[in-house]
Amino acid sequence: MGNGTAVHTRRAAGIVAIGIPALVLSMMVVATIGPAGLTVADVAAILGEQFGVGSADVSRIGTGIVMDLRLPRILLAAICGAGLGVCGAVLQSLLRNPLADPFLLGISGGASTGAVLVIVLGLGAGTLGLAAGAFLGAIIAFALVMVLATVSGGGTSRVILAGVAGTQLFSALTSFIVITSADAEQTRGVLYWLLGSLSGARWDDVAISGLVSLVGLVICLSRAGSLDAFAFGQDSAASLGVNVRALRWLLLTVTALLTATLVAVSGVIGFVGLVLPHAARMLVGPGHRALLPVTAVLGAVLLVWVDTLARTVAEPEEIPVGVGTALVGVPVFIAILARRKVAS
Amino acid sequence: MSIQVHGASWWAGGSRIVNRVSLEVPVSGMLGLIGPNGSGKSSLLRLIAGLRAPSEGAVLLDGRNINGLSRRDLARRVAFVEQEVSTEVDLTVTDVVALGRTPHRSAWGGSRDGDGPAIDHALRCAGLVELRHRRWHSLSGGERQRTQIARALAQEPSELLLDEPTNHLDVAHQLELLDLVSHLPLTSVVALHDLNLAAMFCDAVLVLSGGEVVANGSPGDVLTEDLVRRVYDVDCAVTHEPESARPHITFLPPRRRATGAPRVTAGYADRA
Repeated sequence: MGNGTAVHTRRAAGIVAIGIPALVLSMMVVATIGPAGLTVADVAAILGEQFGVGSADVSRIGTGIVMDLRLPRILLAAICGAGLGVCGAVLQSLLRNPLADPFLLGISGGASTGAVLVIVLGLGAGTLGLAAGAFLGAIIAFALVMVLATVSGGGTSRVILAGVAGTQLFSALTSFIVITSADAEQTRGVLYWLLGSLSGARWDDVAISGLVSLVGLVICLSRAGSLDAFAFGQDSAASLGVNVRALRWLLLTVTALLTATLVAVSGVIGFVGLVLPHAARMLVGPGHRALLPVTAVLGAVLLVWVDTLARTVAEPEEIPVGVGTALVGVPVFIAILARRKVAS
Repeated sequence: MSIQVHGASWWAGGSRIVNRVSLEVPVSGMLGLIGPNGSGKSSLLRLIAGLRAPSEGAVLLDGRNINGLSRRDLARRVAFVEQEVSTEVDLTVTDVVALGRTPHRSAWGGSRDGDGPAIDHALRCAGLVELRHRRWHSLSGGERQRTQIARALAQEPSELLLDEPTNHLDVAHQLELLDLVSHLPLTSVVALHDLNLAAMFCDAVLVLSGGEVVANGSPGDVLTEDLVRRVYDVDCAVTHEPESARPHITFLPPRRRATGAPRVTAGYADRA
């Protein structure tokens, strides 16, 4: 593209080039934070031993804490931050709505209903875990929202309205089930899950969500040029040679599957998918080839640190990570809105 | 023939917006679409642009039905400038013009060798070289319109479709813009409200009313006092420019009906 875009492309390359080492370093530092008194060198030694390089002079317990508890959690935080950020950026462009976020199309409502059906009503009689219930709920809600949007005409604003309606419906169902059937402890568990938590992270969560995020990011990135063409709306994109209907189905489905996977392992972590794309646009402009990788890297770094705060500020209590992202996210969002107001 | 439309109709919301329209535009010709509000000009342009599929009939490019072309191949040939567009995205003039390269790129959006020259050429044609770093949101209506035309030119089309491109432009920019379009080596179809602009620049005009073709031919043949009265219910006097023999239309104020003052209001109401 033009000169402005060339600057943006260079800056995006710079951010990714600095961001990835910064992310790795953040993960190592964050892995030392908390009980057990480890240092970055210890963490490096533990990792080295796992990969068969050298041996670690660290206690079994220290190794266990890093490998079984902290590392999967830190990696999952990075994956969620990257995945939610990318989904938000794609949906904001595709639906031409700066308030779009990954949970817009019924995903959060459906996931919470699915989770509650498993936790409170014991659906699946032990064969379905909470994650599976949340994933299925999210997919069912998304499918319902898409049917509703298609029946009502299929335009961009209809998709958004159908999403809002679906989210409201499933949130109400969740509340209904919790109030009529849950005891106090279950209610607290549900509330905690709804605000997002990475405390139960396991290696298989990391593997599944990492793989899905990587595939999702590549698919979104492979449509970056077509997403740019949506700047002036659907007809404009179509007249620039984009097959609007096929692209919309592809990207809505990919972002829904990715978000549902992340919700299933981490609950509903708000604000990352809403605010982060805006912050990334301020840095590297709206071109998606630059925007999507930068959003992914920034999201990963942000959530690694916010989750660390969430597990440490109120020790031994944990604050849901969604609370942390909102506490950080709201001031950033207000700053962006104020900047917009000045600009317009 | 560059563009041909054969008996195209288009239904929306239970009514026929475009009614069995047929037209032909020769290579490098400039066709003006005129007609009152709601006569189907924009809808017809959308059919020609392939953004809507005709309910019956067909649109042909060089004799081939456009429904056999992929969106991408169509966008490499036909560029469309909508009446008014808006965006939430923070783009510069160059960014917007570069969007015109989309059909020449892969879906990944990587730039190609031909992009730079095509963008520069489009910026020069539309007189935007000085404005190239300006932000879309800071542009006036006329500058936005020229930016969209430059975007269309960056597509390197052989057919250009414009939907009321002179809206919001002052008289100098209206003349400048249509002069630009009429001198481009392209086939163009332009929806216009201003009959005198259509008369001045178009090789042929097609008059639509209620979705149907009322008249079609050279401006001199079509734009008559009788036609303007029939289609717009407005009285006018048509003179012809001595040099070009192109018609010039002078509108006359609405006639007052004979039966006294209170009826005047009713006369206006009839027209509304």
